[in-house]
Amino acid sequence: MTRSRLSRVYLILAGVALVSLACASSAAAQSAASPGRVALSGTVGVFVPSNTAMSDVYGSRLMPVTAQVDVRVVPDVALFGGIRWMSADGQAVVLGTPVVNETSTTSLGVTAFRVGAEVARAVAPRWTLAGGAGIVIARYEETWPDAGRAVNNHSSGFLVLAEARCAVGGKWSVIGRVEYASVRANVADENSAVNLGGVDASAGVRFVF
Amino acid sequence: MFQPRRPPAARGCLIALSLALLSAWPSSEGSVLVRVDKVQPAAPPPALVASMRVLQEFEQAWLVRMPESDASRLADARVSHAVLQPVGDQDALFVVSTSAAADLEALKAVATVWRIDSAATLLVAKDDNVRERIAPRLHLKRLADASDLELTFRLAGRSAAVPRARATAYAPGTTRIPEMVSLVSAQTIGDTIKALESFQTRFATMPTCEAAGTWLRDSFTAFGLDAERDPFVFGSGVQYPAANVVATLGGRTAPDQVVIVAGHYDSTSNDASRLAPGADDNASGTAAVVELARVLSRYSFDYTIKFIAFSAEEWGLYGSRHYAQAAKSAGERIIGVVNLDMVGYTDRLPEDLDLIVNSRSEWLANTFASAAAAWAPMPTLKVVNASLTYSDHSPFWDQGYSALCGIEDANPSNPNYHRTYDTFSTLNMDFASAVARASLATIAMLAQPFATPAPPSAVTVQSQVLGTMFMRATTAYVTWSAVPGAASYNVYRTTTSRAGYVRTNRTPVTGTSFADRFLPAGVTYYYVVASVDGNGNEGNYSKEIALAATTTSATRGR
Repeated sequence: MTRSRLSRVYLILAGVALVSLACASSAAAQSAASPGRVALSGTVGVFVPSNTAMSDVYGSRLMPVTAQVDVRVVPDVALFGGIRWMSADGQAVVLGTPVVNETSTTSLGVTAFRVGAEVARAVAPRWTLAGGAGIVIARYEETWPDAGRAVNNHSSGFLVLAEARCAVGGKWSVIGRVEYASVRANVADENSAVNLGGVDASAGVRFVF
Repeated sequence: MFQPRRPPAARGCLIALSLALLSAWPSSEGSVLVRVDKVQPAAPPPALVASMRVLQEFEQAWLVRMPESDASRLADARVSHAVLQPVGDQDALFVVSTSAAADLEALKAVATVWRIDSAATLLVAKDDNVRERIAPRLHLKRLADASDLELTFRLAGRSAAVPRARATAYAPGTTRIPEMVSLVSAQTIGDTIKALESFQTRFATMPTCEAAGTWLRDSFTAFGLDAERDPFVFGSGVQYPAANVVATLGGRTAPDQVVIVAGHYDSTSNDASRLAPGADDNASGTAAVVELARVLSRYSFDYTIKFIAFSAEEWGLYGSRHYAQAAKSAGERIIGVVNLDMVGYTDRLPEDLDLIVNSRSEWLANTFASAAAAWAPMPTLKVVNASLTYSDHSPFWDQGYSALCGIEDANPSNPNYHRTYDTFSTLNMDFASAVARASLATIAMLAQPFATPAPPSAVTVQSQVLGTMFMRATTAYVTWSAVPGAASYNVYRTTTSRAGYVRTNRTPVTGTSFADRFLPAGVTYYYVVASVDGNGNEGNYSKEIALAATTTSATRGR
């Protein structure tokens, strides 16, 4: 990654941190007067890679874990920020014509920071639907243990999500979330890119402060 | 006026014939000669490059022939170039080794003249027989209709990719080279020069030149070599017969790999049909070739060595052009050519031997210098200049082979050059024999003196590329045939052909295959394998096998 691109990434991350801090402090200031503005959710999901370059190596199902903070800024609109972890082990694939049947183990780790806005609307006494969009900055690292080689880099993109919440009592909800992310990263030595995002269906719990 | 009326059927035939002739007739569009600079502001369009037929490489530019309509598009495509002139199919093109204003004025009386650079001028003549109409001291190279060179360009502001210089790893058999070098005799070199001088003239059109060729063939045969004449004709209008003399010392383990040492035996002078002793140019180089044949024929080598005496060099490099073209057509695998031309005169001491190479052949000059330093010390000076085309190395460059010209001065300073008084008495035999020793060391090193255990044969290499999302790695699978007496093998790899081999196996390989894993993709690798006997003695390298750079955009295997 070039120095200028790296600087841009840090600038965006710093921006995300500032927005989160501002929202959090604002929420904290108002929480006493207006409880329920800040929510924290955690989900575990199933991620389906959107391209074969990823699924050939790491399989067609991965299991990401997401933590997200929502800050309601107007009655139906909230800002969110979060982090999503995903890792997988795989096998390098043979490109071109195979000579012998041998390959090499490999592993991938992706840590994605996200920030965006969502609109939520109560549709039944216990049910709320939400939809939102935001940007994603992903840091990824791919490792070949046998070769002692690793590569890591950053990439950015966007995501859209839809969420259903069912209040289960008190401040707790059970949530189901479907999201699609597009985070394109350049493939080594090729003039093409892979999408580190894709379709992700997850379920978890949400707590409103 | 009475005109016979043709019957309709005959008229129809005439029309059909005319149409057939018209369709078979080559396009009426002419072609032009274009000087295209090697350094370009932007990459030239591939379509235009495809229409260029390379005639000659110069140090800073390519000389190409291309359709006039394509040439007219070069400026719009921002291709740095100069259109020299329209050229007919019958025009004879020569490169003359001069750019002096006085020479150019004199040449204009003979043909159309274009200055290419400080070392070369293009001559467009109406026939082949230019030699007799220009000053004897000027070198001539007759250009072929096309060369086998691939056009490459460099973008302005980017430095040329020059291979890193690497130390040459010596094969074990080279331990016999000092003994070989010690057998070189200044006396026998001198005797050969005198013998060639005794033919009075070796001007290529004279019968005495043919007689000299026969004498050379007999000399090679006397050493036990397989020697033969390689006949060809040259000249337009009047066609002159001539012949190269080719002597072969067959290789023992990889005879398809060929190392060549050569020199031209024809001569010229200011009175060429009567007297052209050509002691320095080039009985000296020819005598060195004969001396190498005498000494090296006593030994055996892994690769084939060819000792060649070219003819009609002075007329435009016709003999070497004939040989190089035929070698290319026959798929001859020439490792390198050492051409010795004028290696007997010293204008000052110590005289150094200039090693003229193009960029592709630079490794050969480095090898020559290192071989000389190791076994036959003498000063050498590497001159990398693709425009120095005036001797028999140049037609090998045109065919994509590596070749060097060893010469006493890149700009010959011998005052007797191409004169009737270029005689043995003017030569320095200490220098001539030093050149022969250094050349012998180089040729022997390239051909690898045979040593036991023998190197593996049938070496092959295949590649498999492994890929993940962000990384690629090549695995090279090297295989070879078992060698009797070998207890194990070592596998060596380099990214610079024939130099800088690095052992890839950490422990001795006892089988006949080896996988070299996790190599960065997109790089060309060269492999050799050496046998090791039970006492740990390692033999020579096998012949080198290239593993071409793999394309990482290859489709996935599953």
